Amino acid sequence: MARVKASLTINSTDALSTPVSLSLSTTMDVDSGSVIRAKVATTASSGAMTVHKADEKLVHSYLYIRNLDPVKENFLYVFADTAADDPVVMKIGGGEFAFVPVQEDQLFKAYGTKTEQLLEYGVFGLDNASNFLA
Amino acid sequence: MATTNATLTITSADLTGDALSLSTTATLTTSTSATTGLDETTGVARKNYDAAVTNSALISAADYGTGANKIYIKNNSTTASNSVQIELGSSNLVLGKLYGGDWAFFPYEGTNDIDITTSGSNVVVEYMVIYES
Repeated sequence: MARVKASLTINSTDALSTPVSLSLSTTMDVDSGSVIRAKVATTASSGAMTVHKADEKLVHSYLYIRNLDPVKENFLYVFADTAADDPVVMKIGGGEFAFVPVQEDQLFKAYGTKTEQLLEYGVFGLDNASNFLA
Repeated sequence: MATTNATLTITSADLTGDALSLSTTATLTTSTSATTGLDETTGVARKNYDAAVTNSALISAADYGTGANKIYIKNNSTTASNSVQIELGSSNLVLGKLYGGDWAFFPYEGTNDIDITTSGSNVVVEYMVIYES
């Protein structure tokens, strides 16, 4: 078993009259995980890229995802493929990122505003021995 | 116009033979500009749930416009098994579950309410919305 540490800081000197300086971290016990850089193939849910496979991890499953496109308006749409209407759960602008402990039984996929849009993502957690990567 | 920076760092010395050291920073800007900062925020707020709740509204979409809003949520419980489930919209689609000490940071388009379901009593949730007007 390995350990992965994720840290987040949010800072602003002028968002409020008092500075915002938030700093936190979490350390995860993980069996596996990797950071992957890839291109989405589509601009719709059909043919979208899987970024979180359902039941690949046990109770704790952490998803990091970043839109590498330099243009803010070229969004990355992350949706839940397990629901009937493919609801978008995150719309990530160019250069932006998300880090979420996701529900382990959810299948999340991503598509872009344009085809061949670059993204980076990683899933970390304890492996579900009954559901290996196919 | 305010300037707010969010930095995420992910590190591991033993996940693989190649040490993981990832750091990314985003300056939080509006949906239509890469230079205009998000100018409104709830500030860092806390809610104390003395009793367990189910599908309880934490963030109401009606309070925010659609845009490049961002959300930070943390389960401040020190008991790992005390979870806070994050749910989206009227169908309460489960996005994720924060166990004690866990946190999340993600973009929020402002079209769905965010509800939570706690696993038990005496849970403190910390959150912040940074949004555009």
